[in-house]
Amino acid sequence: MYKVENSFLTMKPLKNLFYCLSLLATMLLVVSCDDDDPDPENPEELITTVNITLTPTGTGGTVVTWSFVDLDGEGGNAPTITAPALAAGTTYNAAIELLNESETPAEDITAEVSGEALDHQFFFTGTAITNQLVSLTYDDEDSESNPIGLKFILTTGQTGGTGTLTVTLRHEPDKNATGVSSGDITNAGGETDIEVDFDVVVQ
Amino acid sequence: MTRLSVILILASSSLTKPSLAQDCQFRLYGTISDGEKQILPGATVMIRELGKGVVANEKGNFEFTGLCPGNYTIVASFVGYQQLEQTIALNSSQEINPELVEDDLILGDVTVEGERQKFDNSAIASTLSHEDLEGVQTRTLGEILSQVAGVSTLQTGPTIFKPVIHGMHSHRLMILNNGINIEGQQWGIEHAPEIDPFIASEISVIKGAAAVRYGADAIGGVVVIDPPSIHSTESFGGELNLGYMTNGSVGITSLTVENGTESGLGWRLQGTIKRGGDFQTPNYNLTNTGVKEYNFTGAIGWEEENKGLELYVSSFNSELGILRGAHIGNLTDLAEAIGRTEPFFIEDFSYDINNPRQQVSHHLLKFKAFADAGNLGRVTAQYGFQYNQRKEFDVRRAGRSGLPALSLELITNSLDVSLDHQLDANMVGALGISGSFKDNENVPGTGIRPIIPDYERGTIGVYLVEKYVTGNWSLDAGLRFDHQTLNVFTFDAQNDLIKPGFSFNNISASLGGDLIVSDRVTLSTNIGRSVRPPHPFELFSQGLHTGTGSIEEGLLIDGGQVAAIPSSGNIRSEESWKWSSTLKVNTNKVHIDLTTYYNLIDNFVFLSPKETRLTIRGAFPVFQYSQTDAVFTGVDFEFDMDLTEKLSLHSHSSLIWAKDQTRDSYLTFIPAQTFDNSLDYDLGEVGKFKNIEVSLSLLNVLQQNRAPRVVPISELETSTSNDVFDFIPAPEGYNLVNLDFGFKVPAFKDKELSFRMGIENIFNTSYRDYMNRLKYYADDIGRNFSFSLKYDFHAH
Repeated sequence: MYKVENSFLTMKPLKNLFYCLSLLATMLLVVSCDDDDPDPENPEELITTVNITLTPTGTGGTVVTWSFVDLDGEGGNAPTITAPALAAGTTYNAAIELLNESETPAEDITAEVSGEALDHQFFFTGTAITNQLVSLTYDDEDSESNPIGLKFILTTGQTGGTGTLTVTLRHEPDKNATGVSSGDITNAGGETDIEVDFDVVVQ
Repeated sequence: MTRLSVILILASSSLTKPSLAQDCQFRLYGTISDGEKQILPGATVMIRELGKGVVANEKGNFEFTGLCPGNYTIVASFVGYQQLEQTIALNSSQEINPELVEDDLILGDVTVEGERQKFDNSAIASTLSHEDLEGVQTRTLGEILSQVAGVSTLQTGPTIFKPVIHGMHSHRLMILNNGINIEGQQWGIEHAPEIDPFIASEISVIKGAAAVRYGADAIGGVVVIDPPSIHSTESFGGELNLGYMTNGSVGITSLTVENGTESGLGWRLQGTIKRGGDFQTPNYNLTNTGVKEYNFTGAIGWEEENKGLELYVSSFNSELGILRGAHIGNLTDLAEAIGRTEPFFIEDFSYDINNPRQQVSHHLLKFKAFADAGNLGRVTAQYGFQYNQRKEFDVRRAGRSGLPALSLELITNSLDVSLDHQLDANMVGALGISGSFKDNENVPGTGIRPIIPDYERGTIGVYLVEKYVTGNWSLDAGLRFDHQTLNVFTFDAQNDLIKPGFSFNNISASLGGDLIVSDRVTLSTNIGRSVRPPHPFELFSQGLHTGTGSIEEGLLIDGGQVAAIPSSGNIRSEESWKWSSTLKVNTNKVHIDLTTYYNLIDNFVFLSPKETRLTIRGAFPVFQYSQTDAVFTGVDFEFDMDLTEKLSLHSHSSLIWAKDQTRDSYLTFIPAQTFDNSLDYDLGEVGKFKNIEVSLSLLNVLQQNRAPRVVPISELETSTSNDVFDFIPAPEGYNLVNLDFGFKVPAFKDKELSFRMGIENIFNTSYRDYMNRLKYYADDIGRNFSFSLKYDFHAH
């Protein structure tokens, strides 16, 4: 077997080996410094703002604007939600506006949704509807005569009260599934792009 | 020694930067038989110098691994036969087929036939041989590995399988492709390893302490994929594999051609094409679960007795569909999906792969050189360059579906140099240095804030392993020092670039030994300490993980933004102590392999629920990486027994218990207790047909009754405890019955055809597996018929 007395450290191969190792180690440490610092990614698809403008039909009455604003997207700071009171016994023409205000100027996402109307639909649920505080009907349709929900008509009941209205935007729902075109979300599927709650006050 | 220097410099300069090392890596294997080719199961083969002995299995096969170069005396014996002694000079892996002669006859000779190289195996390891791989290479790597007791899979649908060894997966496992650690985006639990199983002639799983040899990324184990040696043939030859599976209508073709000359020069080319469509559960299609894959490897090498060179390239390219019904926007969607018996979006069968989908490619270039440096031993240098690209496409608005939602590029250079030495007859070991540099970049233009930041990570490690062998026992010890630098490029709350930097120094160590109790019983035990600094994604990940409907935040994220950066010393690394032991018993009829382990991991990084956060898409749970002290303990049990001459029983069990000790709660994604039993009937030869085998197996997976508590989505907002939870209870246990049939038949004079047919899930059972991430959405796949045909056109 191998003799150990041929002192390792005086041997030439070992010196060569150490030379090679140190060379390799140096190479490892010389890091590829292609210092191209990354730029922050621009979240194009972000929806920061949902504005719902409620305009009373007929003469008189006050235009009410509800909004849900979360400028830094998912995570980060909490959103700001405002929902001024509606007048009882009133019919409103409602229009939804979607914005990406993280960009300047703000990007209009409403146009993206109406441009892909076949693949989008809003749904309205919550105690404000089940308790008949308000009732809603769609006021727009896509090229296949199914609703979109960017425009709707909201009628408040005769008596005041409070309730929750959940506004949901589904991407790629099955609009032909049972009940979907009349606003029932149960069989819609797809994925949720927006789901915001407004505390509705009718007085 | 100028030549050695030249080789090393060539290895480094011609190719730029670095990866792995091999020490005592040779393998001595073969079949023991009598002179008339009657195999002798239960015969013993010993290496006198090492005091190491093995018992031939039921097929008469035996194997020694991790041998150093040197002269050895091989002693083969069996009751009623004369003991056979033969001296061999081992300088590469060798096959020897001892032929014993009955006591009253003349001594035979040990013949040395051919050679094959193999990676070093640690004490607690299991190997899938070329034979074990036959007919199953049409599956993914993860599925193939789950044949090994102690290995299970973490699944995302029918095409994405990650191996799990003793409860560890992803970035805690290392996967070696021909000696190079595959560097991909392994942090993601829906990211499968980028490996074509057809490249392997053998796959080993190292379950024991392996970090000393391989570094921090091997804290949970190592999967070693070995292609055949490039000069395994000395004439033109190859293999054509064809496979088809009815479920998903998956077709696979793989072709290997190779050639070698007596001068030691050899080459091999291999390619695989795979195409599959939507898989099916017993009741419905899994729409958008198709797969497309095309892979290529090429190798050229030259080897003499005491030196050699090898160049290896591999390219893996895949496109995978993710179940359409599993794509959700928020928790309401998830709650709806959970509540359904069938997923949304069930369409007719199609090969189309639509969004959501993954496009992954991995390219590897490897250069290796070795040379014997006189009394010093053997020096091996290996350089690897890897380019990994991952694009994930989502269902998006306004024509953005063609833009990847996640696009990552990872470039890794690695270099390893090792010296395998034998100090004297009883002492063998290896000294090595390995380094790597990784550059991870988010490709701009996704329009989505990346979930993991850009980073650069450099590592350098030095290790020494020594083994003392005497009589019937051996003792081994190893020590490793690692230095890691990490530079992260991320953004603060004002969207300004910040570049935190860290450096970590760690020491890993192992101590173990083998004891040959008798010629039928061996005992191995090993205790190892390893340390893993947190991965950049564990520190800095931030964002919405759409597949799980949750926001994930790293250890250094606070309140949705990067917190004050602590000094490196205040970042706690995972510290693992693992003690594992194996008892092997081999008799004529029974083979037992029992492994137990106890693994304590301090500062174990895991996702822990933190709060729910309101967003414009609704409320999401926020999971933050946090650290705890975890314990993993378990038993792997393999039991094979010959019931009659032709009928044998094979039983594999994997049992694991894991716990978060600090919080006294369970951890997520721990495999359920699994039992796999099969009855094999060997018909032997009928006419021209050889190796006719029928196997009936029963896979029994219990319900995971140690799953985290359940918090239904409806109760999430009112839940206050920060203990780990799941949205649904662990699915019920299940039983699957499978049948497998195969034979070989000679073709075209000296060539051979192998045919295998299998029926999996014969009874078309509907089930969901706890370890499948799509359990929230859909059942697992139903009955499948698989066919594979191998045409081996090597000269026989």
